[in-house]
Amino acid sequence: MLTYVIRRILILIPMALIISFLVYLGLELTPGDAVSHMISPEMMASISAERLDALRVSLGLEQPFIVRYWIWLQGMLQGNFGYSTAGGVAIHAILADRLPATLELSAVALVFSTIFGCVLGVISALKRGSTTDNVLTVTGMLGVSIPEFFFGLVAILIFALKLQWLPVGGRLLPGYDSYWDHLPHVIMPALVLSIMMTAGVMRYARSSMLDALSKEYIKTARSKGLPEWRVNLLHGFRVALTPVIVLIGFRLPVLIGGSVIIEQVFQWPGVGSEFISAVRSQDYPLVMMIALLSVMAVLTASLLVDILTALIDPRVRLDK
Amino acid sequence: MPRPIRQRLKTAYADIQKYENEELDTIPLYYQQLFIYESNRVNRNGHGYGNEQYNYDWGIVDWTVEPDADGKKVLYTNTAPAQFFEQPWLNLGIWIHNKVVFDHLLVADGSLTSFSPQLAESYNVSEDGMTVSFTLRDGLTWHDGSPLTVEDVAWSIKTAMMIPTVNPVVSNTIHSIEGADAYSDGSADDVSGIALDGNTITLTFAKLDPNVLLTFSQFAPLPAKYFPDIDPLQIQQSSFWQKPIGSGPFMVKEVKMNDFTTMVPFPDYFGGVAKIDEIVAFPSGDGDGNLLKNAGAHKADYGFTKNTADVSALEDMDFMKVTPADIPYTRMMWINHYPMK
Amino acid sequence: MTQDQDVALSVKNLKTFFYTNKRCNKAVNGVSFDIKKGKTLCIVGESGCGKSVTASTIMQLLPTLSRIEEGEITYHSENGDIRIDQLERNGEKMRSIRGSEIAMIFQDPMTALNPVYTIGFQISESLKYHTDLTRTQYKTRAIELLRDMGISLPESRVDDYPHSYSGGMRQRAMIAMAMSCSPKILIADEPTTALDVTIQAQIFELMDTLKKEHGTAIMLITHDMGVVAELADEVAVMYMGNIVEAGTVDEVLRNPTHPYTRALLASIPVLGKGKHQDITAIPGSTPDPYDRPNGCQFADRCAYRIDACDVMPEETQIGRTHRVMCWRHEEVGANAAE
Ligand SMILES: Nc1ncnc2c1ncn2[C@@H]1O[C@H](COP(=O)(O)OP(=O)(O)OP(=O)(O)O)[C@@H](O)[C@H]1O
Ligand code: SF4
Ligand SMILES: [Mg+2]
Repeated sequence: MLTYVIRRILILIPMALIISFLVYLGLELTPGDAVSHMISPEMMASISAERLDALRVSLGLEQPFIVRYWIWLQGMLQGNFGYSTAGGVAIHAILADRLPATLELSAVALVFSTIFGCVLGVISALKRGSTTDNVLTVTGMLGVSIPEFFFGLVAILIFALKLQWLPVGGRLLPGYDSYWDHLPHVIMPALVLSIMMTAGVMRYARSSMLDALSKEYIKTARSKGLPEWRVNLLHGFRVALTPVIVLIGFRLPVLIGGSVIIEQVFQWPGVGSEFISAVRSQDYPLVMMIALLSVMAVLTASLLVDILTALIDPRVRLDK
Repeated sequence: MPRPIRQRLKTAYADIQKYENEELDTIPLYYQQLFIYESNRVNRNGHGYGNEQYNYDWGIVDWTVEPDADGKKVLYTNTAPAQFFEQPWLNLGIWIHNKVVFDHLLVADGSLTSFSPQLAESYNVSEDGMTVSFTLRDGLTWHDGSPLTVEDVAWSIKTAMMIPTVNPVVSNTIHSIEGADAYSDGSADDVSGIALDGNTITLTFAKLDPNVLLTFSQFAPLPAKYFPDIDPLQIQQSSFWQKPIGSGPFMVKEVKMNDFTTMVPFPDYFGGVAKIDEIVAFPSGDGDGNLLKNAGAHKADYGFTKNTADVSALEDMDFMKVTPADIPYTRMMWINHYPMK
Repeated sequence: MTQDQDVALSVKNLKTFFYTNKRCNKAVNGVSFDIKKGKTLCIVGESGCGKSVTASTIMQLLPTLSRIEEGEITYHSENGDIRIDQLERNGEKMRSIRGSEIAMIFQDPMTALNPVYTIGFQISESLKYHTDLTRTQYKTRAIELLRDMGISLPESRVDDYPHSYSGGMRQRAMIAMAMSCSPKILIADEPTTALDVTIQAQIFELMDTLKKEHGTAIMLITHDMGVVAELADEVAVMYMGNIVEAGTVDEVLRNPTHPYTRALLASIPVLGKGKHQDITAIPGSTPDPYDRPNGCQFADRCAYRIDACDVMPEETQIGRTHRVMCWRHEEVGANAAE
């Protein structure tokens, strides 16, 4: 198992390299560059080429693509994440600022959706065909199929604009002094994100649970005279858990990358909304860093999922 | 853009400008409208409206806002930064910090046609228009308490000469100053057309620029001491722009990038201390996607928009008032107007 | 009602119906039999005739859409008779019988064991609910059971997961689990169908030993007439939800009086009779369980069919232990004697 984990971690390196190169290439292929974003087209025409080139040189944009990539990579290897092209802010500082916001939102949603998704999914499966099951199933379908932004806007309309219980967006308010002061801000985005994520987990848990309950070993467990809770939870849910863990594991990257849409809708100053504006302004170093972080998060999550599955399901072996 | 094409575009643009200037009387002037919205909590106390994309004499110091439950007068607006404060020479009046944190030598009226002194106590334009001098008020200070001097103004002008990210009107004016080209291409160490004398800065122009006064009603001097040894091209990358220090009626108090920025009255402002206790600005560009949401939640007391859909929605909110402002504007399409070679 | 002293469980006129899509499947339609202490009752019949449903009914392990319509299931426990059919399905009383008084092993040991728990854990679950053993004793007992069932190195295998067991070992582990609380009755539903022949023989041998040593009553469900001849003390032949013929092995195998039993016997090769045997498959196929004939269920496939067969034949007692459901059992029996 240890060698497997080490090997998987080693594989991450070439994968990260390839992906980082592709992202860089993708940025290169989009029209314009950071300078063309800084200066409006009208001004562009009145500025001499020399001056623009000087600006490019000062931002290190004049080098050929591959050289720039190489410089960026060297910086990364030395633990220097670089500076945002647009504003010159150190990228680690930007991330240090945005990551807590994203974590705060996503962690709430992840924990909430895991717990409620599993509980509701199991109830739904155990009461299969009942009104409870039908209500939950329909709700779950809605939850999965309604786009996040729509759900978010409806929530804002009702709770912020009509009822005025909660703020429309943002994370902190001027004059806050403790974490709890901004609790009202996190409630709505976290709940909206949670509910959307819960719906997915619930549907998954339900079908996985139904699958487990139809297995012969459930009958064996009953034939041993075990109480129903033990049959359903220890024998049914324990087995049903594996695919649910996989689903949740693959959602872990949201902790790092944030939910781009929810962050936009709720003006949440997290990594997701930062990414959008960085892409818009072709801020290569920032885009690269966030993309790379997300990729690493995805790869790590998949490794984590593998390890967890192996821990949970003795049939899965990692040391091959 | 490949260089030859850009060169051609540039020449063409210059030709068009020349033609425009020659034919000024015959060119139709278009109006675009811009809409200033205000909540009913805000009172301009008699100050008028103007071209909100620029800086004009809007009397923010006299504005009042209905106090909130704590008795605090807070004005909510937008155009706060997401990652850094943009330096004020590019998009002159778009950002709230350009409007309230930085002052200018002159102040324009709402239509940007007549000017009066602001940081300057007085100004003088020579008969031929080739020499312009500004005398600063006595005892001006930056928000950090250090004196605002003609050296700061000169440094700002010279720095702006070196960088492309400057509004074209401003850029045109400062490049018309005598010795500007030699300075910006590195062949001279100083600008021969800038002379300092006590509290007075005198600019001598190599070519006549009709927009000098407009420029200096929009061009914000910066405190030079925060930019020691800076490569002018990298000015935007300076850490100064995480929490800038200006000379305007409000100073930046708290910045949560991409979340909010607060500004409070500058107690030593020469024009008196502003009556509003705090400005809270939420991040946005000049088009604010969250405007309606924030307005609905009473978190947009002032701002401007060009989005007509937003305007009609704002007008439907009984606590919002929308005032249109005309912005004279020429924009034409030229077809086969310049040689194709 | 006279009852043999050594009857462990008796089933009377049991009817279990399934309801799917508003249609009714009379999967078990009035069966009666006794399971006796220290004896093996074999239930044979074609696929779908209701063998497993009968077994599940006794254990009250029926799916939700089915129910006992009629009849009695009486477990003659040491503390008096218990009417299983009247117990709540997963109620406390029923659970206390399951696993400790009546245990069951299933057809496919691959799927009947939970893949995520060790064999030891799965055995100790029974012990936890039916014995006073302590946690530490579970393991010793599990090892003992595994050893008794013929698993080598039980000390280490007890902590293994099912996937590292072979098919035969899993079935032994299943039997170990079933036998862990020394049940009075063991119901085995085709316990060897999924295993290869040599392993089959070992498993049956094991069951036979248990029967002899512990006096366990066994209900063995099988398709295999060879197994019946080998292991059974009594046989019940089922067809479409009915027991069409029942009796001792001798009675049923040597003197079959139902055309279906005869056809069943003719359709299997008998060991030792040589290569050139007359094997005849039963013609036709079983009727649609949702659309059963009114009379004798076997009528469509029966060579002896007469008009009277359009009415359900009654059960006739033709010996003290031998009974049959056929209008023409006398002719069939006479034919068999030839
Ligand atoms: N879970 C169920 N849902 C619906 N019908 C069922 C179910 N289980 C069994 N039946 C029906 O009950 C009847 C008897 O099935 P049963 O499983 O008892 O047959 P069997 O004799 O055990 O056959 P096999 O030899 O294939 O195991 C069949 O018609 C079958 O379709
Ligand atoms: S009752 Fe008639 S049809 Fe049925 S088995 Fe007997 S002879 Fe055949
Ligand atoms: Mg069966």
